[in-house]
Amino acid sequence: MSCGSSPFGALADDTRRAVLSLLSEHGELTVTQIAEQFTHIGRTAVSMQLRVLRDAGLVKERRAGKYRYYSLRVEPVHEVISFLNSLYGASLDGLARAAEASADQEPAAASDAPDPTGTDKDTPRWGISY
Amino acid sequence: MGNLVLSQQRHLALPPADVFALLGSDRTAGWLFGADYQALRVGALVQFELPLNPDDPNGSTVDAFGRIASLTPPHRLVIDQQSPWVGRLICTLTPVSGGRGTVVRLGVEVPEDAVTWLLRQRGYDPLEEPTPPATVRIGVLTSKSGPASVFAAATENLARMAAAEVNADGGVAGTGHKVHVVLRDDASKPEVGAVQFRRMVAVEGCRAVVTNVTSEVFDAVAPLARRLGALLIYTPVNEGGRFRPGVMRLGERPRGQLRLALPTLVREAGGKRCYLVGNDYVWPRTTNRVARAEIERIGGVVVGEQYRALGTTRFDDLIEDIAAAGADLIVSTFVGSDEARFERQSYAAGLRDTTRTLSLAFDESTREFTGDDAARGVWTTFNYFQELGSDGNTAFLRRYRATFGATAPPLSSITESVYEAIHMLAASGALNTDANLTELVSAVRAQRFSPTWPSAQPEQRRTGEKALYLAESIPGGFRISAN
Repeated sequence: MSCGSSPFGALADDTRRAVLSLLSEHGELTVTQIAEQFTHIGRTAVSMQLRVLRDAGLVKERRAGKYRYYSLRVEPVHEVISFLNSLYGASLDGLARAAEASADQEPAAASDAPDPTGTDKDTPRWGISY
Repeated sequence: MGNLVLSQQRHLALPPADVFALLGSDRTAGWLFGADYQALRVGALVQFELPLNPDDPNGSTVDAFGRIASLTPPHRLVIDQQSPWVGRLICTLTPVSGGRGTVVRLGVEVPEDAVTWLLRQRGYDPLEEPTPPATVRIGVLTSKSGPASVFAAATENLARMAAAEVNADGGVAGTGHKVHVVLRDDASKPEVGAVQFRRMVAVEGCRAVVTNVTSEVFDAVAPLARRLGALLIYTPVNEGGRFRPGVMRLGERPRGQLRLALPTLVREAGGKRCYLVGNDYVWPRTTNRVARAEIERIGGVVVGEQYRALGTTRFDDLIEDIAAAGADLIVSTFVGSDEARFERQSYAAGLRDTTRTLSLAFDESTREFTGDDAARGVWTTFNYFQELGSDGNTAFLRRYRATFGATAPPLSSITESVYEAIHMLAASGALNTDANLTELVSAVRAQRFSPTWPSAQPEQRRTGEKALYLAESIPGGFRISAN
């Protein structure tokens, strides 16, 4: 299994998890308030972690005067939905490629086909059921 | 939030019957149709390789599995995905263009728990919802990803079933509080296990955590138990170890397993030349140290001993070496999917013709992943098998199937022990929100020897003496041969 930016990648390091945990408990915090919770790393390291989190779309930033406030974003849910959509969609893309290869071996079927590429892709849809 | 429902479709230039024929027969037909189908029948295991990056078909993958829930060739296939998250996949094939083409529609239903788990994988770790008053939380640390994930689906089911039984029966002894289980994934990694354990105890208020993770992860978590003031119950087969105040170990020990199994295995194998193999961590190494002594005690000889890292997928060199060493008997302490792969490759290489295998963590889940043919000739020994004929076990299996359906994964000692531990905690009379750790530990220890909770294990187990069974893998399950 590989690591990195994939959704299955290695879990975030302790500091990153702790920052997210603090934000989920307190709602909104400044860098200084977050850094106060750590003894083993300083404000600069916390800022770096916040940037990683922000770039990953997990944390958002709000400026008010000379302060920057950080809080959790809800968009990760949408990222998960988009990941699941492309994951399950990929299984059908693979099937379409195999079907295309199979149809190529049977020219009669292929020539009659309405879509010679064999991948008439429809827009994925999603929703929530209760 | 309810279940997440996704839907996708593709238009293919092949008739439905031809598309359906690709199922399980063409490895290149996408991860769903190209999966490893043990059989095309309801209940059969399906092993997938999910692409980590769906946009890159040649990228790395993660193991996943499910079971066929319904099959109507060539129109419809329903799969209950069970790992690494739970979901239901409904694939329908509709003829178009006068039957020359097919619209393949894939509907996927993913429960909220699964979305939360996926969020956690991305480092976004939402806290548990606050529980109502008069509720106690019990943590369950299991492996939903990585080599030990073959046990996860049954473990989660049994943890939920035990909690539901406790709650239906008036709540925990003493206070009548309801039990709520908090399930967390260690990803088969010590550092992740430690983070999740700390969180369950320190943030989410679990006074006790039940776990069947590998002993590598257990060793990372055990020192935290006392420090954080929580009870840790380790349920699976284990190597034992020094006494720790906040820790209980329930599972089978190597000496008992080996003393029961070796005489029969030596007879079956027709020789005493033994080869020891295992994953490279503390349980296999300790077990093999005991195995070496036990083998020598009965006049045998160890002709080789080798270890491979957790997560190993190819064992060719090891299998060659076992064959070259002229071994009669293999003692395996590989675990989970590593063990399933080792046994499949041993079978394919013809090792079954010359050897017998005693595998000490070869439970029903692992056996199923190995497959009927490749598992034949593998022996194991545990306190519990789902094949046991006791009344308690029959009723237990009936409740399990009634709750989780015919496609729910098989049960084994490694997973049933989690069910026992939750009932043990609930029956202790000391499980409440302000429990003192010392009182809790002694009350639960006392439960172990005067059990009053519902159990799947046979009656002799109820006296505090655990029965140990030796069993051989046969098509469809295990044949229990001795205790």
